[in-house]
Amino acid sequence: MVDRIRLACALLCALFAAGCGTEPAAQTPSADADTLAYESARAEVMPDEAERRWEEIEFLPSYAAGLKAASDEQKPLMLWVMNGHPLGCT
Amino acid sequence: MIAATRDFVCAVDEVWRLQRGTDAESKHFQQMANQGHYGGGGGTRQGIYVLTADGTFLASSNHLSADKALSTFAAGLEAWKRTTKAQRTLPADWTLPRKRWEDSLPPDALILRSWNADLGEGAQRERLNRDHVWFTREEARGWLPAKPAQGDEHVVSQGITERLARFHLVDNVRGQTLPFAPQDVTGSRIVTHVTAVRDDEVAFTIHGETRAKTDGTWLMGDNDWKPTEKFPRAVTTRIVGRGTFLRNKGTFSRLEFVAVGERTGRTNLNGRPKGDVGPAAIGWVFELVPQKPTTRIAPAFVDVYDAAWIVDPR
Repeated sequence: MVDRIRLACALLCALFAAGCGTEPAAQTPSADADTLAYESARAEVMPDEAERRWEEIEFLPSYAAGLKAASDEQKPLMLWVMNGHPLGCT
Repeated sequence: MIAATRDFVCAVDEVWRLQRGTDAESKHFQQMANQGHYGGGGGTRQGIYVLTADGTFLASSNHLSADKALSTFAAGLEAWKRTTKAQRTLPADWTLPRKRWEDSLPPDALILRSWNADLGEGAQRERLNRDHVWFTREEARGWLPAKPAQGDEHVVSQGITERLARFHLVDNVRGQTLPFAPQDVTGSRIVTHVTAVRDDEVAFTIHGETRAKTDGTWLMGDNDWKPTEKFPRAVTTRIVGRGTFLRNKGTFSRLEFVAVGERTGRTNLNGRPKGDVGPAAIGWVFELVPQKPTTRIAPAFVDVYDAAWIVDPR
């Protein structure tokens, strides 16, 4: 837990280049600091390429669209349904 | 896995409506799914199904294991061999499904895709989540002043800040969670700085902070999200990002920002065990995505989005 807080603080400090607890809206950080902060935080959050390979599957975004395409193409339908849309928040 | 899916038409959908609805599309799904891994009893129908277009059930499962999914695919393909052309074809009397939430989204609306994850050493990286943020073209203009000029500083519209803080800067890393009420969001402010104006392009940076905190008292009325008990929780973030606005088109060619902060508390939905209530680090990435069928996905909280232009299809 301490590590998480420490990392969060480090990222936040990087975000605003002036230390935690200050008012971000009153500052105009340099473009370099912005880019560094953005890129480092983005790298922490985003899944890597291997984790995103499922996006290569050409999912149709609804049950109805899947049924229509399955009928047109005369292929079985593989349907993935979740609480929350699988292409969004589940 | 990807290769295995090429034998199928692949589709995804939200199951909550399909398993409860009374429209033709939902009934079509229910008669099929009731033969699947959860049987015909009450409860969820989440999972993977293989079926024919007329709704003939072939195979199903609901498991995180890729091997289990591949077994389901194989069983489905084997059963497919025994189906007839009539089963593989939609009934002649098939009617169009009713309207969806996505039908409310104007074709020129702005869509941000968000990703969020726990941060820090020890964070369980096997879980992350994503969502989509909707702004109409008019709402999106709230990111910048009406006539942006280099050096301008602009406080982003309250509507944009509230939408992000209430519905998108929430702890859904491990699963859907609860939104915040307007009263829960205080001291939140996002500011854009116009850094350059060249011909048609307006470049700007984004900085800000958001705070949302509730003692768990539910302030959003009766709806599907209303919990049966109190879940105190809070999210604070700091935001940094950048964008490019095209003045002639009135659209954004770039809009991306990160939010890094702290979460506390849990909800009945988001899969946080009682021992994982923080405070702990959490982060989000928001990026502009083009409109296409796979990005026109309704936000998780679309039914309580407080946007008059969204038409409830129920």
